[in-house]
Amino acid sequence: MKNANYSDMRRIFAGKKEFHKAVANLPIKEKLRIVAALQRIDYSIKPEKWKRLMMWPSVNGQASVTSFQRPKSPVGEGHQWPGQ
Amino acid sequence: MEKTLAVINYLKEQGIIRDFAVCRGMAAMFYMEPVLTYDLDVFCVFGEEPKRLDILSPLYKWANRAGYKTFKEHLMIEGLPVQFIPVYNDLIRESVETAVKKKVGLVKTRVVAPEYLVAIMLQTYRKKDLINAGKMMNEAKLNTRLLSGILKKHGLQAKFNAIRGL
Repeated sequence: MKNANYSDMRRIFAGKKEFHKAVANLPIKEKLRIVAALQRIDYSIKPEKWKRLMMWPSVNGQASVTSFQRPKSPVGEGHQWPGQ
Repeated sequence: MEKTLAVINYLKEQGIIRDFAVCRGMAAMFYMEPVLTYDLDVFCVFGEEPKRLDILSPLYKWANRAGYKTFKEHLMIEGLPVQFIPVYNDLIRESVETAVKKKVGLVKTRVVAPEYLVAIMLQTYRKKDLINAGKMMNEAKLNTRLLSGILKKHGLQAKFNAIRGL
């Protein structure tokens, strides 16, 4: 019985390791979404700490802030950004 | 993130910074499971050797002209807090010189190589750096020969052995 539990435990930890490796291999945009989710969780736990410097990358990975106004572009308003 | 990186590339084109590489949390994200981070840290090299203490003044002057706000050590570039860190030792300088070319969407950028990230984490040796260095060694594809060369050159082998035993 002890051996069965031990092999189960090994299987669970091996699966956990594989999961973390799989997350490490995700495309960068997917990882940005994960970071955004982590920020929201962190903010919900300690809002006062992060109140002043909030950044919320949206679903498409483009960041936005809540406490600052969007500045004007340094390269001109008509500039064509990559991906536009 | 893409627009922010495009603006940093623009800074390089304009000669305000000579070279740069994304580092710390955002750089680690390229190689391993993402970790919580709020800002984009960038190691940067300036055209001239700094003679004064205000090395970052050209960047702050540019930010004022361009209408980007500053907040403590951060510049808010396209909505993302960016911290520019001037290279402060040989390891950091080497990490910028050997940075890896990466793409986020359609924007090209330079990111510190994973072996250098591990070495920098060992050099700073904060609790969260040790955790991330351990994760990096498990999840990232590291060139072990290159890593051991860097550790030897910068005297970090003992620290590496200490965390490998954890």
